[in-house]
Formats: sequence, C-alpha cells, structure tokens
Amino acid sequence: MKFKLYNFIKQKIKKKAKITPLEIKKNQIYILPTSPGFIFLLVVFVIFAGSFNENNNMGLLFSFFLFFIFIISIRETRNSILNLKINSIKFENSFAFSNSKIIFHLSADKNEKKSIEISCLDKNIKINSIKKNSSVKKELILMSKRRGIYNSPVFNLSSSYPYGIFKAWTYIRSDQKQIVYPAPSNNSISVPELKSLMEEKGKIKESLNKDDEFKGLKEYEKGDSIKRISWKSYSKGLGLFTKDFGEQKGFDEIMIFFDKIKIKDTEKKLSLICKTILELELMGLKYGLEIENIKLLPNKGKEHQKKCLEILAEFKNE
Amino acid sequence: MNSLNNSKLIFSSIFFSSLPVLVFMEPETLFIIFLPFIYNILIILNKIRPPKKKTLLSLTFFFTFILAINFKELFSRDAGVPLLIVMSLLKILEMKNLRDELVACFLSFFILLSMILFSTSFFTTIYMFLSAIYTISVMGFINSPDKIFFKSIKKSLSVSLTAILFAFILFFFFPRIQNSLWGKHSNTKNVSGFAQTISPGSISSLAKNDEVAFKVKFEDKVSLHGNYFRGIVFNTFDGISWHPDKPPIKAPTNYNNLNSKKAFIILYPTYSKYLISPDYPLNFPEKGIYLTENATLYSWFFKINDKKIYEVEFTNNNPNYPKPGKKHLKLPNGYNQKAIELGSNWLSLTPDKRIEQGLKYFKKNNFVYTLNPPKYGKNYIDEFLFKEKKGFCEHFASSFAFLMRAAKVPSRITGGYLGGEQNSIAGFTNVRQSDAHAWCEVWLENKGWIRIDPTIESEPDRLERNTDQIFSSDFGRKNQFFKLTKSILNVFDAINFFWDQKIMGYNFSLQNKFFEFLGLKNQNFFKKSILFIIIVFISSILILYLINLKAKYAIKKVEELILFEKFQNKIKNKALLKKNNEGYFEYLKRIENSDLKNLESIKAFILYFIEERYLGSKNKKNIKKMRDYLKKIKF
Repeated sequence: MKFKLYNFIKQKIKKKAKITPLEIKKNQIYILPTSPGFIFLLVVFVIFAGSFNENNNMGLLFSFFLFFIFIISIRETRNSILNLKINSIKFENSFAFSNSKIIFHLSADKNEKKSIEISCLDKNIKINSIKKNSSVKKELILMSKRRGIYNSPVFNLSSSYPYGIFKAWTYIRSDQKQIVYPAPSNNSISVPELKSLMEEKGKIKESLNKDDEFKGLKEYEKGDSIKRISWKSYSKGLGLFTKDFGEQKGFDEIMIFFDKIKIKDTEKKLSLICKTILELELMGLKYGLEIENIKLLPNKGKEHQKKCLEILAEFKNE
Repeated sequence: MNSLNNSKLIFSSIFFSSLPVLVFMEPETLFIIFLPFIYNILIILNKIRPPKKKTLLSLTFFFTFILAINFKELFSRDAGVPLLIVMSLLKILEMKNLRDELVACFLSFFILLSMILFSTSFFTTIYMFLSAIYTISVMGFINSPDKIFFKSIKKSLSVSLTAILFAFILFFFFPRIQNSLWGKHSNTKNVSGFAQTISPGSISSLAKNDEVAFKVKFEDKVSLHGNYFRGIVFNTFDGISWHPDKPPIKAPTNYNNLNSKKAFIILYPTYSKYLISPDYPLNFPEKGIYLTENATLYSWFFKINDKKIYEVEFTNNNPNYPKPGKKHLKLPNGYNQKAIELGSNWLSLTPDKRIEQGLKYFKKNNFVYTLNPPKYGKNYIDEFLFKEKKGFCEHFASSFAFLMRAAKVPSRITGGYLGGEQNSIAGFTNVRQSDAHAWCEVWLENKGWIRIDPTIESEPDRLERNTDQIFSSDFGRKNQFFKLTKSILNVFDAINFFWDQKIMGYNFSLQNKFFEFLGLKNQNFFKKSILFIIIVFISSILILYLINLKAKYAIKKVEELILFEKFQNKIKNKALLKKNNEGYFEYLKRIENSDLKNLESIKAFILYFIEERYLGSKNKKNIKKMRDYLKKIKF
C-alpha cells in the first residue's frame, strides 16, 4: 500500500517535469534526506536527548551544532543543482532495440556545480563538476524502445553534494522527440526485385542503361560507396580506389513502393524497407520512397536517408 | 598508494576524535585499544590483508569480551568509551559503500561526545569542535568528486562556522529545567575527594594533591583570609573514626538572613553526595539538593559524579540552627581515658571557659603541625594529646572535639576546605584538594554553633600556607620564567572559569536572567519551549532564505527569456515560431518577410531582446523597452 502510494506520488511529480531548455529554479527542486541522512538525524537526536537528560550544556551545544550542519546541508545540496542550466537534451536517432545516445548539454552561470547525477530507468551518468561560466556535454546511452516517435522520457537530475545526507533532485524532459527507426531486418530487397516492383507500378521513366561499363579507377573520396572500392588494388598496396562506372542515370534511381511489397506484417515490411534503404545508401544509389500519401523523390546522402528512415519511424500502423 | 583515500581519512578522523579521551584511560585499557589501532594501520599501509567477515565478527566478540572482563561491566563510562572506539575501528574494516563510510564518520561524533564525560573545559570544547569540523570535512571528501581534501576543509569550515553561530543562539534559548529528568550515569572510577569519615590520615593523604577541588567566585569581594568552606559535618565518634549522619536530617525551613551573600561555585566531581559551601549555606536553588540541619548541602538522590556548577546563598554568621542532641556528647566506651580525665577536670567552669581551657592546652604544649605524623595506636587521641603532640588537622580537630565532649560541651567536626589561590584576572579562587581541612564546632547556649579551629591556634601559618604552593620554592620566586608561566596559566584558568561560569554553567537561573534582559520576565517552561521552537523555526528559515535570495536573482537574469516566451505564445501561426536550431538574427529576417501585423514593434522587441541577451544592461532599460513593445504587439 505504502509502496503504491509512493509510486503514485512519484508519477504525479514526474508529470510536472520541466521541459528544456531550462534553468533549475527553487520551486522545481525536491529534497529529502538520504538513508545516511536519517541516521545522522538519529545521531543528533540521541546526542540531544542524552545531553538534555544529563543537563549537559556541552552536549546540548554539540547537538545544536550538528542540527545546523543538517539544516545547512539542505541549503548546500539545494544550491548544488539550483540555477543549473540544461541547455538541451538531444536524442540521436536510433534503430529499435539498440543503444541510443542522449546528449545532455549543461552549463553553470553563477557558481561551480558538483556531483550531478542524471538518471533514467536504471542507467545513469555522473558529472563531477561544471565550472563557473562553463558548460559540459555528457552522453547517456539508453536502450531504445519499439519503432516510433516518442516524447522525451523523464530524466532525474540529482545531487547529494556536499555531505551525502541530503539528495536534491528535479525531473526534466527534453523539448525534442526521440525518433526510433524500425530495426533493420537481416535481408534486404535486391535491386532487380525493386526494379521489377517499379515496373509493376508502371512508373519507370527511363529504361535501364545496360551498357554501363567500367570506366576505370578513381581515387577514393569521402562519401563513395564502400561496395565500389577496388579491393584488388587496395590489397596490392596501391591505396584506396573506387571503380568509376561513370554517370549512372536511370540505373540508380530506385523508388520503393510500400504497397507493392507483399508482406502481411507491416512491422516486418518496415524492417525490410529499412534494411533496403541502408543497403541502397551503401551502394551509392539514388532511391526514393512512397508510403501512402508521402512521397520522397529519389536522392542519396545521409540527410536523405535520415528523411526516409524518419518516415518509416513515423508510419502509423492501423 | 600514498594518496588520500576514504578509509585513511575516516581512520584519521576516528583517531583525532578519540585522542583526548585516550589521555584519561588506564594503561591496560590503552593497550586493548592500541591493538585495533595497529591492526587498522597495518591494513591501511597494505601490510596485511583486510579481514573476512568471520574474522571481523570474532574480533568484535573478542574485544567486547576482553573489555567486559577488564571492567566487569560494559555500560559505564570507563568501559563504554573504549568499546565505542574499538567498534568504530572495526567498522572501518567493514565499510563497503558510501553509507557505511558515513556511518563510520557519525561514530566518530559519538566518540567526540564521550569526551564530555571526562572534561568540559573551554579548551576541550575547542578541540571537540575542531575535530568535529575535521570529521565533517572527511564526510565532504567522501562525497566530493574531485577528491581534494583542502577544498572539503574549506567548505566545511564555512558551513561549520554558520552552524556554530546558530547553535549558540539555540543554546541560550533552549528551556532549562531546575533538575535533571532521569538518573545520572555512574562512573566506577574513584578519584581522590574529600573523605566520608575522618580518621588519622584521611585528610593528610590529600595534602600533596594539587588537583583543583572547586573554584569559587564571590558576588561581593570577600576577604580570602580565613575563608572556610564547609562540606560534611561529622557527629558520631566510634573511637577511631568520625562519621556523618546517615542520611543527614533535612533542615526544617530555609533560613533567611539579611547578611546573605552569594557565591558561584564550580565543584569538580566528589563522588559523594555532599556539596561545598562557603561558611553556612542558607538555601539552594536546585531541586533534589537540600540544606541539612548541620548547615551543609546534601544531594538527596545522586552523587556528584560530574562537574557541578551552582550558585549558593550563604552567610558568615551562624544562623539559628537546631540545638544539639545527645549524639554531640556521646563518647565511645574504653577509649582515651586520659583525655576524658582532662576534660572532666574543667566541668566546674562555665562552658565558654571550658573551651578557653581546651585551646590553652593546645597553645601551651607546643603541638607541631606536620604532614607526616607518627603512627598512632588504639588510643590515638591520648597518644596525640599527651605523648607525640605531632599531627595534621584531623588530629587537632578530633582531639579537641573529644576533650569538649569529655567536658560536656556539645561538639562536632566539620570537614571542608580552608584557603585557596586567587586568580587575579577573573577574580575567582582555586581551592585545591591540598586545601582540605577539618575543624571543630561547639555549641554555646547563647551563641549557637561556633567554629573553633585548634589547628590554627597552634599553627597560625596554616592560613597562609597554601597560597602560592606550586611556586613557593626560592627558585620559583626568583625566576622570571616561572612568573611568566604562572601568569599564562592564570589567563588560561580565567578563560576556563569564564567558560564554566557563563556557558557550561548556563542554567535555569542564568536563563531567567537572560530572559529578563530581553524583557521577557517570568516565563514558564511551556512558554519557553514555544519560544524555543519558534527560534529553531526562524533560524532554519534564515538559513534557507539565502536560497531564496539567489533564486530571485536568477529569475531576474533570465527575464528576457520569459518575455520572449510570452511573445512566442502570442504568435498563432506556428510556422512563424522560432525554431530550435535557428539563430535570433535568422529568425528576425524570417519574421521581416512575413505578413504579421505590428511588424515594427516586433522588430524592435527582438532587437532589444538580442541586445539584452548578448550584451546585457546594467539597469533594466532593455527589459522595460521589451515590455513596452510586447504590449503593442497584438494580432
């Protein structure tokens, strides 16, 4: 019963979690003694009761001293996260059920902040100190959930500086959404298969250019597909070269039509498309995507891939 | 290897906390405590492996057993404190997590506190607080991420100074009661104090004891010369020893006397139930301590096992105490026949003439006052009076009382102190155990009980003897260094006295005076308690209020952001909201091309915002302008 009540209150408080960017204000901070803190309070009380009984002034003075150490600890612990600025919490897009990075950007204006812990579920990161007028970037790695677009989870930002007898904490969440792509399946749809699907749709504008010939090797440039690397020449120790097939108009413009792929389970279908997109990007082909009303024209590059994967993540399974 | 770590620092904190207590320990106890200390040091220096759980458990039992055997019990001061130290040392070896480490620190607070069972002087208090601050620094070190001990010391110093300041405020307001609530702890250790019976050698054994028995300060200046401090009255003589009444009979009423004076006394543990008063006490302000019909102070329930600080009203003139009974004339059969004969020779005279005759006998016969009297047998009074004529004050007093009883003059012996050494700085008198003295009191019908000191009659120097005792040698008197040392010691003594008088001796009556000073007369316990709670509340709020100041300041600084947020809330077209990755200037450009109304105001608002955000302003000029423009923006 007690436990339930505790969880109920915790959930209520968590709903009030503030959204970044923010500066932690005093009315957002919760503070309670830790278990050593309760022991400390007991120590103070025992000393006080003993001295009171014995009419011992020195003991009384000492117990009052420790009592105020306790009270000042509230202030000090509170100050250790007060006015801390959480500039941003950014989610790195990730695939379902894999590690996803969350990047925290914190800064301190007034004074040095020490011993800050940010936790979510069972994972946590510790920030030893943030110097005055400086900022810190820290990564928290969490296991991502199913495919989809999520609101930010609630993070618990806490500190028990300086004496560990109090813990001050606040709940924060990011203003950004967490995008989780479908988990890529093991196999992908091969290029010829995709072509045939395109033909079925009857939307091929240009025939396949069959006389694409190997035109020679060119020096490797960043962004070239790994598949085109001439491993033969690399193994001879000549350096990295890629095979140049010249302009490949027509051949590498592929459209993926969601409704043409005949798999009943939508999630599996999305996983397959996800893997296919990754493969196509790796091959350096231009690809586009059409799901229901959304249409992305063929293109290539990381930015394009991201857009495609985001569409997959966003797709509503009814 | 040699760097500081948590367990090293916790060890050092327990060491510093127990250091002052160790000074008071017996050698065999010291040896028992020494073992776990060495064991800990060896483990810290990586010479031996830390013990396993079973070893630790058996060690705990072993030390408890040893201490129990040594002291026959575990819950007294002398056994309990070593046990606490040993347990704390073993706790260090058992620490696994942060909580254990903090608990070990809390244990060292307890050890520190146990120091007050031994001493509560000003300097021990200073040590106690310094050591507590050290322990708090260790707590800080354990919790700090950067592990720089100097920084934790700095932090805990600032925290502790605030805490001490507020602790003193609470201290003065905490309601004091007239007597203690429950029983006092008992100390098994018996130290020298005034004798419970008077027999040959009972006082002379104290003659070389330099320990301070009590300190006294008189309200008005009272001449120190011939200052008698009364403790116990011995009414019964069994031939060898004089015994007090058991228990002493309570005086019928408190006596009021116009010539009453006040004295403030710090009495060191006597381990008996008698308290000391200058001359004749009139009343005592504490419940549980009564005036007896012998004009002494008696603690009915508890022995004086702790330093007792009190104020007593007394008079130099003997008040009208109850008449003597048969016990004041009773002599044991078969002892000191010669003395009985001598006494009965004077029976024909008037009582005051009999007393005169008695004193004359001491003056005439060249009695010698000596710290090393010869050994006396069964009839020691006869031997002293007629043969050896050498003795200490107890010989003089008991012989005179015996003679008086033989002459049918009611008499008794009073034990207490005579003399003392004045501290000129604080104006109090140190009375040492070596000032212990015994004298005689006899009853005269028209005068009541009067003091007769046969020792002084034969040896008037006794009054002067005790002043400057330590430095009385020729070497001491001539040496400037010793004079300097003495004056320094006097200063320390004066500081301690002040501390005892004002802080440790802060009690019910001093608190009433303090409240009167604040204009709060006649406060009862309930009202005082409420006031105390209010003060706890106020001081806690005061400490926490500092947070509020900082928080308010913080809000001021981000005011422009709040205004900007308000502005964003006004815009209904979501496409025109500022994007997260967009700079403020980019946003301004985008807004300029939009079809929003009040475009000029918006532009001005954003420009003032940028100025405030990135350049800042000393007065709130920009913020004011932002507010003005924000009002103008209406869609």
